[in-house]
Amino acid sequence: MAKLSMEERMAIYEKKVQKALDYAEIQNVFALHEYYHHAPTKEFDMIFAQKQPDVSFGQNNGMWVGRENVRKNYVGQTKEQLKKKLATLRKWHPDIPNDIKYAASGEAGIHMLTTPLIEIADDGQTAKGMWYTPGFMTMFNEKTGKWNSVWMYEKYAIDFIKEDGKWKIWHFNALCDFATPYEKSWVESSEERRLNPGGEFMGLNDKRDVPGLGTTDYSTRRVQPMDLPKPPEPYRTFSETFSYGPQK
Amino acid sequence: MAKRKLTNEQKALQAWDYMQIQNVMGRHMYYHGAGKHHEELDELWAQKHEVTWSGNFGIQIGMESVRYNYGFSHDKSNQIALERVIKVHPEVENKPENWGIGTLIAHTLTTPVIEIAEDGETAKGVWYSPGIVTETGPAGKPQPQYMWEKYGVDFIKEDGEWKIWHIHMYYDLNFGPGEDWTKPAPPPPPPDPSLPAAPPRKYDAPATYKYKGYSETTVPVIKPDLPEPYKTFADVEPY
Repeated sequence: MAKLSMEERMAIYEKKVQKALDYAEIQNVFALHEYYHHAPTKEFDMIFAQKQPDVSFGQNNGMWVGRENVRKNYVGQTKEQLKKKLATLRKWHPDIPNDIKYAASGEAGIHMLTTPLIEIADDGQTAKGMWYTPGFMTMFNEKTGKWNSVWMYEKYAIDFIKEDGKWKIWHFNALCDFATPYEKSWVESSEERRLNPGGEFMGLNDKRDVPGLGTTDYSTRRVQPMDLPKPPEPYRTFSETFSYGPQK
Repeated sequence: MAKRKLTNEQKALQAWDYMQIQNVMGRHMYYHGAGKHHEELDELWAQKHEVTWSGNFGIQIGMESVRYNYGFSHDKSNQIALERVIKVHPEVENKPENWGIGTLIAHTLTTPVIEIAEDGETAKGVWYSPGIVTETGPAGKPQPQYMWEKYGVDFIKEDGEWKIWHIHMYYDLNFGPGEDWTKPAPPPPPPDPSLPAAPPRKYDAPATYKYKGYSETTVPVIKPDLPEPYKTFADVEPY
């Protein structure tokens, strides 16, 4: 094989270096999602795509599509809703200050990023990533007046797109494998739900704009799927690969 | 720690290789989690170099041995597990599509330390893996376990692609939800004597190192050995 010229070699290295840089930036952008998870307004404006009409937020039960819908449902709550939330909290715990910034008192969650699998398109305009995320959530239970602690293990399947030279989250999916109270195994929790269907589960019963990627959470009746979600494969340009967004 | 001087070309290639190696290990986890061991061995493992899988029980040497244990023996275990499940849940159909029913396996990969040889032909990596394993137990019920372990992995380039070459597992913790990992694990439920037992694994050589997982008398050690910058594979010890 003929030896490559210095220019040809530099062109190859330039592409590889750019992809390596993109990999690091994408890891950072997605880590920001985790650290800002409890300030979703900031997160949405900072790291979600602003120019894509089909920007989406998906979970097992479906996706919200479009900036307004994602903002309304993921970014959250209006001032009125927060005031109502605070009022309920203070009925149980009147020592909590009557200030809207305490409406999320005691809420916590960490979703760690592990097992990255990231492919950046050859054209450098989009990327696809999967991560495994072990984590926990702590949420206030209005019926008991206590905070529930829950272990949550999920997979992320994300499309990224470059806007104005910066990587942004385009199609977001957090796909729950299990969520279980800390004192129960995930097998016990899932059996309880399988045998008593219809109950509320982590806000994953609500109606969404479009169906999700077809994933379900752990069940003693489920065969763990390889391709739900499908891991990213190397690709040249987005039209030549599959989407983690609204399915056609 | 060894110091080295890399050219700009080498640095660029190493950044690329780091990313590719993370992806290979990520794919390993997703394949393993879905029980697609044969596909994983075909796509992610070295085909032109002798592969090994090592742990406290011994070493599996060569693709035939690794495939016997990780591939065929695993298939057989899945068949047997399905028969156990059917004894408890007769409505479940006995077909290969149901192998792995009720399992959930995620050996996550965190805390990577990856060194790529200066010659660009091999690499070494360690990861900490806090994971979960849910497999069918002897009584036909799923057994949830937390498994925290470390990976020590050698990689080799074949036809320009990174492949898994040697894997060595180091097990720290194995405990059920709600169990205190500092206490000895409770005995497993007795097996149903009417059901076949899972096939034992086969090893070609004794373990080169027996890692002591957590116990009240275990002194922490740095194992696997953390990769250091190196020139070529002949200069280092394999995992």
